[in-house]
Parts: sequence; C-alpha cells; structure tokens
Amino acid sequence: MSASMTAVFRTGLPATGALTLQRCGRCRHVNYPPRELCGHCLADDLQWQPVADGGVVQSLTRLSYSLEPAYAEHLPWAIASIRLDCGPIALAHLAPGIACHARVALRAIQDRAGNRMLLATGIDTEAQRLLAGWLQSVGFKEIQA
Amino acid sequence: MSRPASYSGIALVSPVTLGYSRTSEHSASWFIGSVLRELIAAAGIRKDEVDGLAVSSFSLAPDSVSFLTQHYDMTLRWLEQLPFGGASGILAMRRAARAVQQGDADIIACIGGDTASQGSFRELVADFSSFSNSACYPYGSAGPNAPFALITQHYMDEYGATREDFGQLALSQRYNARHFPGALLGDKPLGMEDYLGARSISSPLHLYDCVMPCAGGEGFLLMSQQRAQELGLPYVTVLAADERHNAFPQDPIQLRGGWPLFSAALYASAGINPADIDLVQTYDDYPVISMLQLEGLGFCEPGGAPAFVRETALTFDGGGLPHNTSGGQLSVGQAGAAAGYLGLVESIRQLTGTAGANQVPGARHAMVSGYGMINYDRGLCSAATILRAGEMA
Repeated sequence: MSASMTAVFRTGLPATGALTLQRCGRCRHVNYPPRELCGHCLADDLQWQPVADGGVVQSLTRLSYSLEPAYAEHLPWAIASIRLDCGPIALAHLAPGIACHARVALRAIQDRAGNRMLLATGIDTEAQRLLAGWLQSVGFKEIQA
Repeated sequence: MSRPASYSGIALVSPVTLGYSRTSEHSASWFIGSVLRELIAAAGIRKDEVDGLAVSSFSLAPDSVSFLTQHYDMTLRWLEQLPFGGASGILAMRRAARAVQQGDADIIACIGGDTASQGSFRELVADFSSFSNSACYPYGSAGPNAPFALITQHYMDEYGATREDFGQLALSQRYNARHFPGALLGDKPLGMEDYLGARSISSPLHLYDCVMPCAGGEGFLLMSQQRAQELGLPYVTVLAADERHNAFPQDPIQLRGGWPLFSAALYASAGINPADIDLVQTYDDYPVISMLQLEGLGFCEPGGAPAFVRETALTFDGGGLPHNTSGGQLSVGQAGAAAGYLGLVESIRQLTGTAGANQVPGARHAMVSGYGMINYDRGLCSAATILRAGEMA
C-alpha cells in the first residue's frame, strides 16, 4: 500500500508495540476504545499502561470491500473481535491462520501512514515465525519504542 | 420496574414517504420541508396549525431544527432534534406524545429526512463517532459492515443460522417491495440463487444483506385522538412504547438488543399477545438484526428466528406474520435517519388501510421496532411500539 493512498486516522494509541491501554488509577478498570474519563467510575485518572496482551477471538470477518484504498490491494482483509483478558472488547487486524475462538496476543503496529493500530497474532512459535514476512507484505511495521 | 405511562389519547395520522433516490441534488432541508408540505396537505390543515416539529437527519448540518423554523417560515412552541438513527421515529413519537398529552403542543410534525450524494456515505461513516473513528473505521470496515459481519458470524456460530435463513428475510422483503411503488429496488426480483450468489462484502455478509444508502424522507403528524377525529382523519393509536440504550453491555458480541428488557411489559401494557400482532416492522440494517428483534419482541425464543423465518410466511399476503411490508430498508433503501421512520410510517399506512397494493387485509395491530447508532461494535438504541388502528368517532 502506498503512503499517498493511506488515510490518517486518530486511533489514539501510544507509540509502543506492547499492548498499552488506558487503566483507571482509581478503580483499575481497563478502558478501550480510548476516552478521557473512566467508563466504569468516571474518574479523571486514566493512564496509558502496559496491560496483559492475551485474548480470545469472539468472531472474525474477511472484508471483500473497503472504502479505504489502502486496504483495497490486500483484500480479502481479516479483522476480528477480541475479548481481552484485561477486560475490553477490541476490533483488531488478524494475522493469517487464526480461527474463531483461538487464543491470540495483541500488539500495536503501524502502517505506512504512521497509523498505530491493534493486531491479533497467533501465540505459537510457528505463527510468530511467519509474522514478520506477513507484516512486510501488507506494509505494516513493528513500533520501535 | 415501572412501565412507561399510558399513551392514551394520542393519534398518529398522515403517513408520508417521499422522494427516495440513490443520490440527490437537494439538501436535507428540502426533503424535510417537502415531507412537511405533504403532511399538511394530507391532513387538510394550515401550516400554522402545526406548532411542534421533531426532526432527525444525518445530513442537515450545519443547519439544525431551530434554523428550519426560518426556512419554513413557522413560529413553533415545541422543537426536538433526535440523533437516534434507526430508533429516531419511535423516539420522536414517544417525546411528541408526551408534549401533546401535557398540552405543550397540539400538532407535531415528526420527520426524518436525508440527502445523499456520491461519497456522502463515506464521509458519514469515516467520521461517525469518536469510538468508531479511533477503533473501528481505521481497520478497513466500510462503515458498519464489519461490526455487523462479526455479529452475523457469531449468530451463525451460536445458533446454527445459515445464509439461506437470512435470505428468507431478504427475499420476502423484496416480494413486498415489488408491491410498494416507493421502493428503490422494487422493480428487481430477487431469488435465493441471486441472494446466495451475490458478491461478498464482509464475510458472511454478501451484497443483499447490506442496505443501499440513499436520499429520502418519511414523516407523520402526531395530535390528540380527538383532534384527529374532528379532522376526519384515519388514525392510529399507541398502545405501548418503550426504549433502552446500551443494554447488556457485558455481552462480548451483540446477540440481543434492549427489547428483552421491556417486551413483556410492552405486551402487558397493550393488553395483547404476540399472536395478536397482524404485522411487524423491524429495523433491517442487516437481516441478523431483524432476527434479534423477532426474538427480543417475543415472536420466537432467542436463537429461534432462523427456524421462525423458515416456517412463517413473511410476505404481506402470505397469511403468516407480514414483516417489513413495504420492503424494509433492504429493498426500499436506507435514507439516513428517515430509515428510522420507515417501519413506523408504513405501519400507519397499513393500520389506516391506506397502504395500496401491499395492504395487509384487516390489519389492526402492528409491532414496530427501532434500532440504531453503531458507536463501535454494536447498535446502542433499541425501541419498540405497539400500534392499533383507530376507530372513528
């Protein structure tokens, strides 16, 4: 995907590859999608912190159509709904070869436009071995931080 | 839990459906004002007899409902703008009914209207909500397609629903649309082979599971039953209505809206049972959501909708449970917030016997359901109402 065809999104994720979400300093609730106040106790005390990156695929879909040109050359494009061990539901890009109900690990990656987004990957060594080649093929990069 | 107060004494009249088109040169205010003009003409009243206006529109900005009073040269005593998408019609009705019951207004025009142009759908979905902007749209979803694909896939996994089951809804609605002149897709027959063979959009959703965004307007007038009778207008009464927002937030994937929280009380309030309902209008942004409504509103058990739609004639003339009798959004088109009025306006036509070729003979009770506002991974607003054909004095 070329950078010129890639839109800039406000995903709100910090510049770190390890899964980092907003945890409330008062009630410890983990919030996602990003917001300004804790959705559980409404405290103004959310802090971006590394959280447990495990989760389970609840459902997955393969897009055959996207309004965004950046995805058009990589269709069908898999995304999934993940129930994170730390609480929230996250929509995430899905690395190849992952079935529904599988355990996954979440991390943040960035695309060529610098958009930081969530990616669900398999947890076995084979899945991790294949990951680098797939990331390169779709224009995703690890976030160095 | 206390149920909502009675809606007695309220009448819904003059159903108007107007101007459905794939795209339009006109603005949202043209659609809303045109519906208003047709409402006044249909009721045989003067414009200055309308003293309240409720409007829902995704494409009205930078204008809002207060600005429309100057567009239409009206002095009003009651205004509402309701950003509730597919729940807009029922929510407007509930609020307008209270205003008329309390004497804050006499005749309220309730209108949903939106325009559409090339690219306007992308603009809407790319900046729909802060949650969607940050955590859904960037992942490539063409608007709500991906969240609903995830819901549909989960529903199929949990309950064994098949694509043919969803196709039952799409096909029966297309049949109904072929008898409703306003439907954008009413001239195109749809068979199961067409449905199953359509191109994939976002698995398991294919083309005929997705609505076609379009322009259009819908509306009705809300007034006292006494006023409707004095005007000699055929009318509909509201036996019960309710709404819930962000119901069951702990469900990882939405397999129920808010309807199970109030449907039993809705029937109790109306004094009737699901078997007494002559027609049902669900909000069909995707077929699976219609199934959640059929289940949540007591027509079948949770997970029972696939069998229900296989075993029940859903066409207006099939003698079963007529469903989305004008074709629903899947065949009429999804005219933005007007889509949140479609089922309510069609039910007023049906219960006043003014529906035309798709008239359900002798229809007396209708269930209308609304669903809307996909903030992130699910629709947040659920609403429903039971309507009854009014009797002339």
